[in-house]
Amino acid sequence: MNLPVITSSVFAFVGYILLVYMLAVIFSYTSMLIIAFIQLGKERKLQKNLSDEEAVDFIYTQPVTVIVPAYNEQEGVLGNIYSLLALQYPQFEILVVNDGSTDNTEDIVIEHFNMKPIRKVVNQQIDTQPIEAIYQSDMHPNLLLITKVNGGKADALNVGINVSKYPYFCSIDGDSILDRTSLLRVMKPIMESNKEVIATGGNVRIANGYEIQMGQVVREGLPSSAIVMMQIIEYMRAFLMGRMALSKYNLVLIISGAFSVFSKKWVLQVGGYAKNTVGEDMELVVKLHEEISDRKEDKEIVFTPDPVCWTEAPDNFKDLRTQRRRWHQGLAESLWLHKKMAFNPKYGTVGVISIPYFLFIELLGPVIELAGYAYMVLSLFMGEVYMIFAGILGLLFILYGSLFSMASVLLEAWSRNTYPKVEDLFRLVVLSLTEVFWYRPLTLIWRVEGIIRAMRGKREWGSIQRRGLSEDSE
Amino acid sequence: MKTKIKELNLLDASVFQQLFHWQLANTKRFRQVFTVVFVRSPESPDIKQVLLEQMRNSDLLFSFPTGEPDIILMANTGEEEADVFIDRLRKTESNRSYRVGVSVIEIRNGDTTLEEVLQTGNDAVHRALSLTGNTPYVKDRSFRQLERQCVRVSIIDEDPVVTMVIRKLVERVSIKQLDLDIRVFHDGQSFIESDWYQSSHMHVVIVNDILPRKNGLEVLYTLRTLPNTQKYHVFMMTKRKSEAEMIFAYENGVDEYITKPFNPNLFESQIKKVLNRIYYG
Amino acid sequence: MDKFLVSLLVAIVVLLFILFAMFFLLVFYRIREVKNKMRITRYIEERQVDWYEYLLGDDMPIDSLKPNGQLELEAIDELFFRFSYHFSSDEINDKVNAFAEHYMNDYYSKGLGHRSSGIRINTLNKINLFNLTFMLDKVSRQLQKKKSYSKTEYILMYEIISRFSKTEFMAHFIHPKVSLGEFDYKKLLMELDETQISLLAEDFNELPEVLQLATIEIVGVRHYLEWLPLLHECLDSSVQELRIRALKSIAELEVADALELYEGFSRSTVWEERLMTAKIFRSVSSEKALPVLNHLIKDSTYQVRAQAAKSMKSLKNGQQALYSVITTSSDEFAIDVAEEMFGKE
Repeated sequence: MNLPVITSSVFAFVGYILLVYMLAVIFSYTSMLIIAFIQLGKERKLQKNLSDEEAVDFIYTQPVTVIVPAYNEQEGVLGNIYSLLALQYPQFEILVVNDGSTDNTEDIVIEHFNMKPIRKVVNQQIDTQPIEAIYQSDMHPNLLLITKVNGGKADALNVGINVSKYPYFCSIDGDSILDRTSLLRVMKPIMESNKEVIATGGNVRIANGYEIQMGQVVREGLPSSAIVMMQIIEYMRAFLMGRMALSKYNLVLIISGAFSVFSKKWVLQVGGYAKNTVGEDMELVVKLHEEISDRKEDKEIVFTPDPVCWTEAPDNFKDLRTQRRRWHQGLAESLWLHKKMAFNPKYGTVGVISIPYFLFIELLGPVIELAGYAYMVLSLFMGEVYMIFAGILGLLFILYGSLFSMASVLLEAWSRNTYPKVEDLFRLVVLSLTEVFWYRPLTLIWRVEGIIRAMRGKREWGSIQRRGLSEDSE
Repeated sequence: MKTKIKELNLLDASVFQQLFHWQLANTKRFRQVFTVVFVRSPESPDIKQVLLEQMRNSDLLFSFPTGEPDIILMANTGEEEADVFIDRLRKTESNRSYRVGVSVIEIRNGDTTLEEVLQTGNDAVHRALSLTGNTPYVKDRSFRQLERQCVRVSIIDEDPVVTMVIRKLVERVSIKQLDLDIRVFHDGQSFIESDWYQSSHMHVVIVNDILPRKNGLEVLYTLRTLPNTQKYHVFMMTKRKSEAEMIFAYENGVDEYITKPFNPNLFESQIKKVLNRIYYG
Repeated sequence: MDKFLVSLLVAIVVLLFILFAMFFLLVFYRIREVKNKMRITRYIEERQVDWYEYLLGDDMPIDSLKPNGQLELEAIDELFFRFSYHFSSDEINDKVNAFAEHYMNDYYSKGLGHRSSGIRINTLNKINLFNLTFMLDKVSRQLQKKKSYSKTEYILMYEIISRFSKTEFMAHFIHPKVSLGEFDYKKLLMELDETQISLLAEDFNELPEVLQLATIEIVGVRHYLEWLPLLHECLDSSVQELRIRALKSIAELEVADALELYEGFSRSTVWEERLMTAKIFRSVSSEKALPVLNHLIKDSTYQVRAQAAKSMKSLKNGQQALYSVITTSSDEFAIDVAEEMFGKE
């Protein structure tokens, strides 16, 4: 092929940009991996259960309200509530907020826990859709069900905040379940920091493949589906090469909405969850960071790797696509809403490092990476010089996509014992090496779709088929 | 008029069996004591009238065919109170010439059978009549010994070391006449699913408040909605000390709260107290 | 460019090689770990009854439990934890101590000086949980070493020292080797007994401010009435937090002999102070409390109103007072909280 000189030099220029970008990303991921490695090395031999004990005994332990927003969760909600009732925590209440479900969520909960309507004055601190009724369980006085007019997840959480009576609240998805010690451990950073920490996020893990009965993990196991296994690897990777390092320097912008604790006082100061975004969890964290800087206070938001929340991952491409699209749309919207924080030294390290990191690596990464894939395909038609270029780019993709994933799997296996069977570990390692060839390009496309939707301003959530984690769900 | 009422207390021998068993059931269930008095007068058939006059209103006289002793059933009555009756019977000696043989049997053992009592009573009357005096009597005490009773004990905690220790502690409390049937569970659901707790036995339940698969409060609720809920004595173990929760649990049927870590010796004596109370009422 | 490609290729191959080597190493350790864990579980299953006999019974001689190797030591350590989590008595404590001093001195000393901070923390936690008093000297000596430790470790060491020795703790508390926050102090103070708290209260002005706050709070929580004058002194403090805490503790003490001292705080600009005042007046006679509470039930802050209503309810004739708020008050918010209190029966 004979191309005009100008086209080929533009092509080379783009190639260099891609190369530099990849090297920069690989550099930042490597450093985060090393930070995580050091951190985990310290904690590896620590027996956490020894100090759980002291926190339970401690009368100053802060009471917590657990808020479960539930919209059409009839499959998962019972397992979720049972797991919450089994939590080791000295004082907490559970508020299940039924956000106008059209299925049997409400009836199931009322019937199962003998709920009776009660009278309660609600301190309407955040404006929400009206509450229809509040029920209290006859068996468990700390279990309440609130039914309200449908208004979305953020609205349901805000209702929970209004009704809650304790100074901290924990938000948890209606289809996930918590480990017995999770709440205790997610609260620990708050207590130990003398309340300097105003929000903590726990580690969300995928429960597909686990055997779960009435909210308790009965047997560990790895699912057979490659899509789900790939997501497991992805979660490990996101956690080790991202959240752990960011958390160490108070740079966390995302703590998962599936399981996180907030200081109610601070959340009320920023007006609760925002209703006009699909990523209300991230949006809240960014707002909190903004508030911290505006008030010039020395507060932190941290991610804690230990407390675990189990959730069900989508096991088919269609649902996975919906989910990823939504996540990325949420990320784009939050960053857009808080664009004034970017590169603004007034917002400290969050403004100078976090926001740019999320902007260039997390948000725009997929666009550039996708361009890289396209570039490689194009190079095949562009002559020998570009073949080498494409080769380098390809190798970097392998390094970035597959080797990092494999390293994450190994680091995870070294530091904790989630998948104790050698056979499972081997399957994960082998699968992680294939990531760059199929899973990564697919998710990249979905994420770019998310960006496009954000730009178009689409708001709907998209529905994901739920199966329920517990075997005994009705 | 007076005699008329008294005559209501005179019953035919055929209903004795029913009333005896009814009384025995009360003995077994509520540990009520009752006494059966056998009376025989070989020379005089009209002894019944005398007996009716000396009996209390609450006593029942069963008239048996001639030759067999008549029987007085004294509900909620021990041997000492039966003595009063014998005294009064003795005072009638001046008005009569014939001899009256009496045997007194106090019954505390709920496992007693009718045949045994009849046999023992008849034999004792014969023995009495072989003694001297106008109103000879014999007290037979072979039914005063309490029967063995079975109490079920359920221990529900997640940690097998704990259930082992509690089991040993409970076994250490040995009360004569009490058979303990102990079973261990490691979560709430397996206890509720088992039909073990649904029985007519007295039942001591030692349950931890936090449990996987249905917690202690739910176990408590299940027991407290049973029709025979008063048969369950519930100990709840807890790490939590929140006042509100403890009050709720007490109001909803926890009998005893045990805060972990607890003193095993103290626990042992608590169990002992409860078992004693279960048995002696 | 060619060279770069080749070296990148080599680097990736080498990296892949290293990763696989690590994988096999990991698998090797994993298999060993699993085996060890199984052995520990088996030991616990097989010997738990013997341990019950030793710790709670009286016919198990100590030497029949002599540990055999590292794994058994770890298993015993685990058993100690499970026993102490659920049961506590002087007898168990003495027997654990006797056994550990005799057979596990080395085990715990090694743990204390281990290079992994995780293991050091585990050991300190266990000394604390199992009350291993014979380790006190070693912990004290560790504190004097030049080496610096993590905050968690320092706090644990201070905790151990304050529990096992009655006076030594004061110097450490006033001049800790790491800066301690309020939560840390509270946690430490929880372990102190009454005479130790008195030591702190006597030297109140020498203490760092956070320790003062914690001390004030513990006086309330533990109902140490004799330190009420100290609380009264704190009410004049210029530190707002100290005043709030003092009021809170006075409320906890449920005494009300210096009402004129507290009443002024019902008009404070700080809502927490008004809240605590509302709480204090729950244990005062009705005629003195009602004027104050009737004022506070109309407060601009929800928490204060709610507490005022709650306090009112716990007064003698409190129901009537609440009822009269509902029927006569013109303040909507006051009526709301009063009604809610009524509903809570």
